[in-house]
Amino acid sequence: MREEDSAASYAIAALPGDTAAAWQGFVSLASRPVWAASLRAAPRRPQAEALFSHLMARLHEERLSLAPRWAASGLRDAMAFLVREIDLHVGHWLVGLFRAEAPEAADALVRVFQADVKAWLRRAAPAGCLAGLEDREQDVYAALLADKGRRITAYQGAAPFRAFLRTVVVNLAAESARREHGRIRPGASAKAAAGRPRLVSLNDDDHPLDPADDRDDPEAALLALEAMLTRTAREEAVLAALRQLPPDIRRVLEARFLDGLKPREIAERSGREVKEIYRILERTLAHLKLVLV
Amino acid sequence: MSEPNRLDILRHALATLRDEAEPPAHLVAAALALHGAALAPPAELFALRAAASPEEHQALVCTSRSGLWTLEIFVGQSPEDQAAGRGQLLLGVHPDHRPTYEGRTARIFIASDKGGDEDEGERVLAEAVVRNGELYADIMLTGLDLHRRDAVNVVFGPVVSP
Repeated sequence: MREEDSAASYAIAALPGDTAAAWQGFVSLASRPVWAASLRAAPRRPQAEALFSHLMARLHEERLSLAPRWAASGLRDAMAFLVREIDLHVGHWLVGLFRAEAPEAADALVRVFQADVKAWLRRAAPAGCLAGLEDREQDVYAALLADKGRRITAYQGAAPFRAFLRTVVVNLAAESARREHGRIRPGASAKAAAGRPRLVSLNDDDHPLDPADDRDDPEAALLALEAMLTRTAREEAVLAALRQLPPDIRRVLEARFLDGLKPREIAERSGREVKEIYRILERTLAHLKLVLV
Repeated sequence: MSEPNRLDILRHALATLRDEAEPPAHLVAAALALHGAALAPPAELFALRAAASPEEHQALVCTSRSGLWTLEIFVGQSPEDQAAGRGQLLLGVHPDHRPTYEGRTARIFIASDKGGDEDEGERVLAEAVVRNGELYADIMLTGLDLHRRDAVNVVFGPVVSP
């Protein structure tokens, strides 16, 4: 890790020289994290490839200012700085997708920020009041994506997009909680807050009984959003579980489910017994089934 | 769109992890080329007077003015090639600059003062994509003055997808 960061520090520090060798060193450093970020953000591989090229082009444009920005960032870890820079550009790319009304914008937002949004909501919830977080998450996404993502396209670029989104999410969560429970006074117990009757307006002008909705089918949109959140969460959970597997076990799964090899063929290629391959597949799939419930 | 089943999710996750291991080589090459593209000459000129070959009318080898490119022109040796005036052209870039030009189109032409039906006084010898740092093409030598040695120009275009 120390060696990797020393290489990263050297690669970033060499950029102001603006030589081909300096850029080459930077590309060999940055291409993996940029590619990982692209695969994470883009729902399909061609889009991930386009995003990779976009991110590398942005980094190339900024190559001369990266070293001074790193120095000013206060971050000692060069890789952490690089990951932060990539994250900034992914945020701008996302906003661009929403401004262009790209169909994959919502999916990309959820893929990039779902884990963070969950964490922000958990931290923003009053102590002992974690029940209903999933509903709140859905409320927050519905509000974020409403009106063609107007809350997202309002981003002006003054702060990093992540910080902007966090503020918006926390505000939307507070709004959602107020709608659900009424205003909660500081110091009120969680039990009292949870048991409080819901406040609704009796003024039809504020909340008409049958509000007009410009979406074609709001119910279908909500169901689609719920499905997207569930799917992304499951994908993330499976990815996390697979990352924890030893590489040789993962290779067995790849051979079976990506390359379509039979257990006998996998055994021949890996020098294991067929029985062992069956055992690995059975045990690993049983573990993954728990994740995929 | 139907929801993916558990097997689809597992396959997708395995494919993502396999993809994550290494970014595609063509994308990395394009990223490397970003730097060169900003700095590399968009055109090259070969003054054939600098050419050296044992039989000057059979083959020519010379380096571009920037020093990045080497041009070789071979005169076809078979009776058919001789009769038709056919030959071959090989353009090669210095290995250090290969990523800069990889996948870019190159139009190779000589200035022509003969008028006629040639566009804007140019006679195009070849137009092709640089692959693996080289461009190889069959050319017609008719009208190419290997004795007086016409100047050969190369203009590079944008990267073409493989």
